[in-house]
Amino acid sequence: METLSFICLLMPLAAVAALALLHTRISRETAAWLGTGFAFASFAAALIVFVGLLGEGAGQREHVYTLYTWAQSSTLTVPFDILVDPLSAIEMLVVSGVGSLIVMYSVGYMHGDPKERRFFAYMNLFLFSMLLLVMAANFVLLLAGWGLVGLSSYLLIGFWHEQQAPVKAAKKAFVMNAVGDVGIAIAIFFMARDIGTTNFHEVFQRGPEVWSKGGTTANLVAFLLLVGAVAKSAQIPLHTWLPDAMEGPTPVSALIHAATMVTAGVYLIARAHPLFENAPDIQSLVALLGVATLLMAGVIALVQTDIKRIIAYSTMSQIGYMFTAVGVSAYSAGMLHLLSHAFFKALLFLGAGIVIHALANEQDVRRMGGLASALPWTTRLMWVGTIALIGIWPFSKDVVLASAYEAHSTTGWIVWVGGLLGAALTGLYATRLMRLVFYGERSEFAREHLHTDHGEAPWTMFWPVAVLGIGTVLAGLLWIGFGVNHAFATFLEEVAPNVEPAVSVEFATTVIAWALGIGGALLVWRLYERPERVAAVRRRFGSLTTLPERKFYWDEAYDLVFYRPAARVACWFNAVLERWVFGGSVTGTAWSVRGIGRWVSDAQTGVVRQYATVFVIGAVAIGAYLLGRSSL
Amino acid sequence: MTVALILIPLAAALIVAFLPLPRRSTEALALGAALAELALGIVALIQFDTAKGVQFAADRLWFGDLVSNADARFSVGMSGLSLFMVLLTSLGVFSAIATAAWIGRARPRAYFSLLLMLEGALVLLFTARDLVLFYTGWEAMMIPLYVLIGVWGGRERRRATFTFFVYTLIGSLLMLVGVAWVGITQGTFELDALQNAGITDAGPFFLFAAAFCIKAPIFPLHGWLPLTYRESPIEVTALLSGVISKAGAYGLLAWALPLFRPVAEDYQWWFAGLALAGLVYGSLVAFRAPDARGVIAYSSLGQMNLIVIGIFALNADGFTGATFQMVNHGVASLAAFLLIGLVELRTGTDLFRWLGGLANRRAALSTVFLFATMFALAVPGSSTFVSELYILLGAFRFEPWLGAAAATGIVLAAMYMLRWYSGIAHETEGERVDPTTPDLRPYELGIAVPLVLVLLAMSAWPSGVMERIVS
Amino acid sequence: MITLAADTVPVSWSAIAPEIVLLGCACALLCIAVFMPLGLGRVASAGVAAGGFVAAMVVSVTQYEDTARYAFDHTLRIDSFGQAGRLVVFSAGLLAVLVAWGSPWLRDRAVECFALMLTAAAGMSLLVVANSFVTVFVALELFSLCLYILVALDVDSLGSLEGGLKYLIVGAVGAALLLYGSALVYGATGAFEFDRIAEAVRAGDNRDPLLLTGLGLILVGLGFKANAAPFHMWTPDAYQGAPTAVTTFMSAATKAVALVTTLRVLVVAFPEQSELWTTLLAALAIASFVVGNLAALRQTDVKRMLAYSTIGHTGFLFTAVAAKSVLGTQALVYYLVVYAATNIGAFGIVAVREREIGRPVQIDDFRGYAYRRPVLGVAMIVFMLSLAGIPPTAGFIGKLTIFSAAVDSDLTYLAIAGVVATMVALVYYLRVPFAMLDREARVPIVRNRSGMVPASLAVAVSALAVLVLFFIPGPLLDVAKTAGQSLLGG
Repeated sequence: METLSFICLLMPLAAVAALALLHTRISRETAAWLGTGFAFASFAAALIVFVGLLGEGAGQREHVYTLYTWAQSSTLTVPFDILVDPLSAIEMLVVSGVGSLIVMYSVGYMHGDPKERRFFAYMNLFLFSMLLLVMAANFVLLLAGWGLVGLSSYLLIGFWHEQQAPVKAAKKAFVMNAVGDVGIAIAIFFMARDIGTTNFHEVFQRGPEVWSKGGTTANLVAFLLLVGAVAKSAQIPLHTWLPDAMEGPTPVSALIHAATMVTAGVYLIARAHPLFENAPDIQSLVALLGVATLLMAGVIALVQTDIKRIIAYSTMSQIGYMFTAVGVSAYSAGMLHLLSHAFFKALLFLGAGIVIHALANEQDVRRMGGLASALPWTTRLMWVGTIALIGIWPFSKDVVLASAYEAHSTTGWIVWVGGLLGAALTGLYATRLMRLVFYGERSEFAREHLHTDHGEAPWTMFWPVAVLGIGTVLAGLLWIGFGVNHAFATFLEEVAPNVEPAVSVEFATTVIAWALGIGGALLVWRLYERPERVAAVRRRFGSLTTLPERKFYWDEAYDLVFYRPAARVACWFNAVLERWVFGGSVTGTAWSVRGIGRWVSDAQTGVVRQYATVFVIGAVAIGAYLLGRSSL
Repeated sequence: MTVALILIPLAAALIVAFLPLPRRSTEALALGAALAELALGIVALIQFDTAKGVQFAADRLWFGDLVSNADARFSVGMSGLSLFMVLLTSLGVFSAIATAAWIGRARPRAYFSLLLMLEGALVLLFTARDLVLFYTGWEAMMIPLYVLIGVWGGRERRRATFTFFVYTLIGSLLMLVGVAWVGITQGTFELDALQNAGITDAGPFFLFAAAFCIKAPIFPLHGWLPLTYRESPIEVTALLSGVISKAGAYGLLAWALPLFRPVAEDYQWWFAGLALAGLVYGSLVAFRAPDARGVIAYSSLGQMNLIVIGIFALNADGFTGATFQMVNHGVASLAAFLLIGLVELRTGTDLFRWLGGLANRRAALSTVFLFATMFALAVPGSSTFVSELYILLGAFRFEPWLGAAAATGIVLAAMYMLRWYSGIAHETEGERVDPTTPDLRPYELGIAVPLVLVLLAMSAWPSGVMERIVS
Repeated sequence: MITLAADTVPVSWSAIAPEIVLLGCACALLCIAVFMPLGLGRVASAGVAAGGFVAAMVVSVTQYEDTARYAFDHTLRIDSFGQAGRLVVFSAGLLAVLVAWGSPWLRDRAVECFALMLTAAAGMSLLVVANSFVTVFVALELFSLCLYILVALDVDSLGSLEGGLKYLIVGAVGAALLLYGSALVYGATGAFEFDRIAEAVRAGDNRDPLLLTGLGLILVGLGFKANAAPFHMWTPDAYQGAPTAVTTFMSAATKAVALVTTLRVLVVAFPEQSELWTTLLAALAIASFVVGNLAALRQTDVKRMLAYSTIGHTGFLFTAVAAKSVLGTQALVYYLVVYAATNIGAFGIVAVREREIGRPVQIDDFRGYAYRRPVLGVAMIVFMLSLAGIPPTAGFIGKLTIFSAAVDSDLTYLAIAGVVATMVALVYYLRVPFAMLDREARVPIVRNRSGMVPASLAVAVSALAVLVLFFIPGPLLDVAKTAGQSLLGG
């Protein structure tokens, strides 16, 4: 099992090395399949490990394997050790499983791109980093993975670095995530100082002891971890990088910015829940941020026109749900939503990818429409994803709300209400997307550019999507039944406990959620049957739409508050301080010294009279001094 | 061993200088010598025994009972720190010579012999166990530098040299007075004897600190840095930022602190505070510098100040991090500057407004630059990340706010390094970059890849360095 | 008591053996001048001169002993301190002969030149052991007169004559003051001999205005010889105007002699007033630091630049004197030897270059020189570094010892002043290496071999000395230490 875990972790890295070394010695196809193969190998390993865990009795499912001492000082040692327990096992499955499917999808999607090899290297680098993140058994190593996923995301967002937009987006993503990294780093300092180690086990055990519950330090540590989580999971206020990240190739959006990396924040909170439980205020902050994000993102998604950005905002809003879940300590509910979200969101993205691929890389939903006939299977699969997204039974998100309700706290109520509203929004934007893309009559552009000569998509693209569809359904089934202690929850119990909502509550919540979701869906459907209705709505609420269209002015705000001032100060430093003060100082001294030098050597006129004068003056001065000191 | 490490480059320098060989053979000779030095350094690394403390020592009288019977001895040896500094030096000089040969500097014999002299002096100062000897190395290191910059530098080389040596000489000559003072008052120049002298006079401490802080440099003593880094031949700049700046940090760690620990503790806040200011300041300036050299120059100002923060945290984590960061930053900035050199070789400029798009269709170049960038901005998981983490942890232990504030440097580093990378490599080709501009040639990869590999190795196993360097 | 009845004074020939040798050789040269044809005479005179210096060296080496002894009833004090001074003078003379050989102006004045150098050397070597102001004055005048002529020896060059004249006039003033000073001191103490003056002072009033005025005037006279500001102004003109070989000799020997005497006079004759003259020396030192180094910044003529640098170095030497300790003396002697070697070497190279281009050497005349004549070029760089006191050259050890002495005698402020001075100094010293290694320049070198070999030999020897004295300073430092002890006891 130990070996297998390490295989699972290191396979993708091996792929990176192989691709880097073989470089152009192998054909593009070979490179692509090599990358895919390693990914699947990693998945296989993960699967076996998972089964192995199932085989073990509850309570003995936590294993820490140490490879060697990674870093050390006389006061802090960081081993390279990995943790295999239900939580990480599930993440391993999601990452390597969904990951390898998406890598396979890319074989078709990236076909013919000049930098194909590099792409697969990057994808595998990401898989390694993500696995490192979820398998790490101490915070430093986790942070390493945390940063490396940021790196791979930077590389993949900016994959087409010939254009400006991707580069900017990539930089933005990296810097914002760096903020998160700093947060976690400082949290690590607290652990190192007060506990003397960053190993999960000790930290979670001793943390609550050394940091009094709700005390400043406890809150600080939790908050700092939250900063990291928020940055990585694109929650308010560090969310603005995610929509821009859609500049990357679609498989990247599917893998990194939907299925796996962006949910790392949820994983972190679930993993570190002892620390969050120890800081109730921060925990409710988590929930509230989640609600705020899920509502705001939902609203923005309503008015977006770029197919990928719509899905991106929906991702933000779904992660908002996960945050609310872990915020009300419904950890396994959050993890379940993470799991199913990984499937259906990847599904939606890849489906969108097929559409984009078929439409000559067009992403604007207004230039699509009526594609259902052309892409029947894609449409069906997208529907599966959409239903799951809206959260119609058995696809769950309502458990989250139920649990929130159970919390019987103000936060709980806010979450409950907000979550239900969110359900309605989800219904609205999800259906809008489907409606605009697949139904209605075909747009000008679509008629010209639609090409489905080789079927809907190359099989390497189609089958992963299909498998994801199946996965989506299965994931939903994991949580079948009310009140019954579900397999999933029990499996996670020992690592990430769950609040078990009463059947009644769960039932009620579920019903309301569906009602709202389906209601929203139908509303949109009716609305878009006649364009003039839409127009009418626009006329009505036109003024209201600008705010969401401008994404609530977050970017502008950041620009104004952080970027501009920093840039201005820096420019001033360059232009003034460096140039005149520090640069000038020496030159100035030099000038003055030279000046005096000139004066002194000019004093040497060469006239003997003057020599004698100076001479005598000197002599007199000396004499005067001596006489002054004499007994005269 | 140590003696050999000191003598090889010096001997080579003489041979290269006076043996009237054609250019190619001169280059080969110099490169061979540098390689031999490097190889010997690696042998030392292998033989180094963590348990044993100072090793490969040699000690004989240089001149006796000069002042109050203090002997100046030719006493050299290697602590863990010295060992890695020597390795860094030999690696740096090797790649510098390789680059110089590739660029084809005028007057190769003089140029290479000066580089080798510089190496000899550096190794001497990193291994000296006697104050006078250390000072000798310190001063002997300056002269080749002055000449290299003043003769082979860019258009403003004279001003650059002038600024550089005014600054550095103030420091080193004041230190000479300090050396004399130590000899007079302590009656010995030997490090082992002075190790725990615990001198409490502030004056002499500042005589030493001045030299080291100017060399590092600590904000606001960096006035010489930008001009010098911009005007020097690129491989000299690489050495300045990669190796020679470390001499300052080494001086603080190996001499100033052991001799004057109490004083250092009194002024801990001053140094840490200034260094923090320097970290932020340097990073901000780097973020808006108009040229590739400028960015790395100011970034290494920031990095050196970070190292100083680590040193003046005056605790184990701080020291470990600082020493390790000295190695990491050394290699990383060597790589960064030499790469800039290769870009200048192609485009004749390092101004962002004329560069860009070098990554397009230039796989090797973009990859190597990527590595340089990522290590320079200390992406988590890299060796630089580990060292910075420990430095900041040290600072945090000393004063939480300091550690937290310094941690913002990580974000700033990300900002300016990504700007640097994109400015050179990304988006559409700049004016001075045309489609025919070649990718890195195998020889150039031969210069850059070893540096990257070293960094990767240190990232895979940081404690391999960390456990040795503190012994 | 002024009547020193000659018959009562025992004559010890050994005490003045070197002087006798030198003067003997000088006379021999004059005979050569009369009896030999010019060409042959040139060779012979050079040979005799060189031989004379070597012989003198041998003599004083054989005489060298740690115990001091008086001769001619306390007018001379033969001690290792003086002997060291003598050795510096003789070796300087020897190397100067080598440098001089082959220079054009020497063609028909070889004999005179060498005769005068021998005589001057005799005077100097008498001065360094002089223990009485009478002897001091006699010796001083003896070599000064010779130097006046030597400076003006190149009658074809206006500069030479001008330099000589100025040197003569200002020198006359200096000598006069010295004489007047000694007279006053005699008036105050009734003694010319240093040790007796000290005794008299100890017995009487050590703040006697007469005495102090005398001391001041003596200090001025000596400061003049030591090119200390503000009595330095003759230096640039004389150094620049004089034939380079002469400058070589002056810069090395005169300097050494002046400082040896200054130290001897002050510590032996005026120990009671030490805090007074320490202050004055410090003042003079700082003045010299400032004037010498600042003025040198703008010079383009190498000889003139070195002349100013020599003024600057007086600052360091006075620092060593002001330390008035064994350590200080040790530093002084060591520094003087190194300084002599360095200057001889530097001026030697200038002489060579002069002959190559046939005009005064500007710094630009050295552009790229190191690539044409590597050995000379590198040697010149070594000398510049040594003047700046940077390893690996003996100048560094010298500076270290002087700083140590200063710190030891609580003159740290002088050390700091020296630091600042050195910084300024480096600006002009380093201009030479920069020019030497200039990567484009191609300076013409003329293949005239006349006198290349001996001059280069002198340069090589000095360069070797400068380097060896860095790596193995021990022996010389020991000698210097015993010299110091022989003077100060303890």
